Amino acid sequence: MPLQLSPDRWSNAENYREVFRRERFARFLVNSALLATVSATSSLVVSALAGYGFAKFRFPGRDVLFFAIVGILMVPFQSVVVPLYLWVNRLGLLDTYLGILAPDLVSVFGVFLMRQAIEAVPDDYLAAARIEGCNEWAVFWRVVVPAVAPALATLAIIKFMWTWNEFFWPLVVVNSPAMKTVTLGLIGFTNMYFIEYNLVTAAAVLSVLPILIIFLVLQKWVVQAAVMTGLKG
Amino acid sequence: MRRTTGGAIAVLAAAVLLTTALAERTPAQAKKLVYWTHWEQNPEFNRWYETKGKEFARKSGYEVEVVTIPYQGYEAKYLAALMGKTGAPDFFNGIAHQWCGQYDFCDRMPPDLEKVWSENLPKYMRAWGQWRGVTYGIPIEHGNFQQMYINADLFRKAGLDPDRPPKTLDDWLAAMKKLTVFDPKGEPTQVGFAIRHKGHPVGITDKFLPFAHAFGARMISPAQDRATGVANSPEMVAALRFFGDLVTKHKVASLAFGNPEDAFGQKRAAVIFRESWYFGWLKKNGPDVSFRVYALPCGTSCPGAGNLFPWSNLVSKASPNKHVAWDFLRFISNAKDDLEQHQLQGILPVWAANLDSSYVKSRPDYASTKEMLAQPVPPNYYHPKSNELATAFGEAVVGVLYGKGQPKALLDEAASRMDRILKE
Repeated sequence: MPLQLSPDRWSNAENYREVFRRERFARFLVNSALLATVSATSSLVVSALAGYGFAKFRFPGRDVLFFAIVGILMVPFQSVVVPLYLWVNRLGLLDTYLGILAPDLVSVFGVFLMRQAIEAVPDDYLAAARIEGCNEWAVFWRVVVPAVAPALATLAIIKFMWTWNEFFWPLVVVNSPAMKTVTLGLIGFTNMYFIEYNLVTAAAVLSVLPILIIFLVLQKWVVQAAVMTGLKG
Repeated sequence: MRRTTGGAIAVLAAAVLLTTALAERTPAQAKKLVYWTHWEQNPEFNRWYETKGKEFARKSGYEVEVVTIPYQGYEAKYLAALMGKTGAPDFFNGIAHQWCGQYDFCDRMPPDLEKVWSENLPKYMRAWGQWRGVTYGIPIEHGNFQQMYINADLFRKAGLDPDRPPKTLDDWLAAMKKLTVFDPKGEPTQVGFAIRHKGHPVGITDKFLPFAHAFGARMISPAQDRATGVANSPEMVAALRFFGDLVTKHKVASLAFGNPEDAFGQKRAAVIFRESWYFGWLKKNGPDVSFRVYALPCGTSCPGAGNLFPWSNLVSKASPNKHVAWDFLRFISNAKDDLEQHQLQGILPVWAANLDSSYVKSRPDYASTKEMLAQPVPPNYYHPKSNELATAFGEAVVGVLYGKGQPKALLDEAASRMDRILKE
């Protein structure tokens, strides 16, 4: 069979139609977008506050606590799935948005990233703000956050993409078709005997579109995200 | 700054509103039995449980809810839920030696139901659903063993008679040679045999085992306590050499051909060994392939009807509804329901009497299935660590196919690893 780069018919959208006929793919896209948005927003808030605390406040055990938190990065997620599942089940959150979101509301990587970024903000700026009469919240919102806006953007983009691509936890916690995410929808075209490549590839194109749009709109920040995480970690 | 804060709050508020809007209202619920399955390829078969559950609800008050889980990763989900006990299914599709043997998640089948099934299953399926002689599960798919699918047109084109398939491995190899077509550079453009060479080693082991059994070899000892001297026996070495030679020496199978099912469906391969489900797949994906199904060819032995994946319906020991789950399984344990459910999906029923039903007789694999069942029952490997064992073994098969070593050396290494797994 000779290889060809261009399709026989550009107007053939049958596989895309079949994707929507077979699965509730629009719903999966909305679910993933929603989960990724909430997880990115929540991680931004928690990470920025925690990073500020670790970077600019001195308290007993600060470094030990910080390294303990960062150490969580080294624990494989698979090893905590069963206890996490038990908790989520006891809280009645199986097959709910909150249950899917639970492990993603906080980002250990985000805490690390924000601590590194906030450390670079000169203490003199903060002191000046306090002399001007700002309380700690005002110092945080008016001085620290604007100064680390690029790092926040970096974290938002990375966290959105990570959550979008998350497969294992949604697989464990989701039961009903209505709660499925894009990754679970994609795997629905694969079964124990065969892979429906035509549908998998069509669904993959659909699933990558939102990420592509984010990339195009926030191109500057995405590049910066890659640079920042590569340099400072 | 205020705009940024306001923006974040707006995003969160919108998300919360959307979450609330999307949350599907569940009506006042009837009591439910929850069934988990990873058989995504059989949606009609799965849905039948819900349909039948409605009938069952009239006498018990319990309906059946089917949760279909992606095959890629179903074990992790099963494990998390069954270990957690709550949030687990009441009954599920699984393998007894794993979920009842390796783990202890299954409820023992009530004696009356065990009697019904032991009297009505084909002989080769009786070990399914059992672990150490105790019956836990009801087998759900007959015909889950490989048979030989041939492309009748390609046979005719090669001067072979599609009504007289090769019966021995020697004849089969001779036919494969005639069915392979090479380009001027010596690369096959059409192969005799569609070989499985990619994917998980367990799947590769599964596809190699009929050859091993045809050579009189077996993967582990009958007592399931050792592999050395068995997995690397002279018979197994000969079988693996034969299998590897299909690619490297005779070139009647090719690693350049990707998915074997696709190659057969695209008429680029003349023969494939697959289970009864493949007939349905072919009808959908290769409707113009004129095919026949025959029993696998024999070597010193006949491969027989065997498999690595004896799927059964199992009941969770921790389920508060386990007695109701058994009641439901008892409710559907009869010839009529068995035939109805399997026919809906186009797969073979398990009730022995149904194997001579008009539905089964009308299938292209009717005669070959009978012939396969008449062969001696091959060894089974229903060990709790069958996946680990088949993975270690499959890596030796892959090694030979890709020219990474000689069969004997690779099988010695695999047998040693398998012994360690068996001793754990």
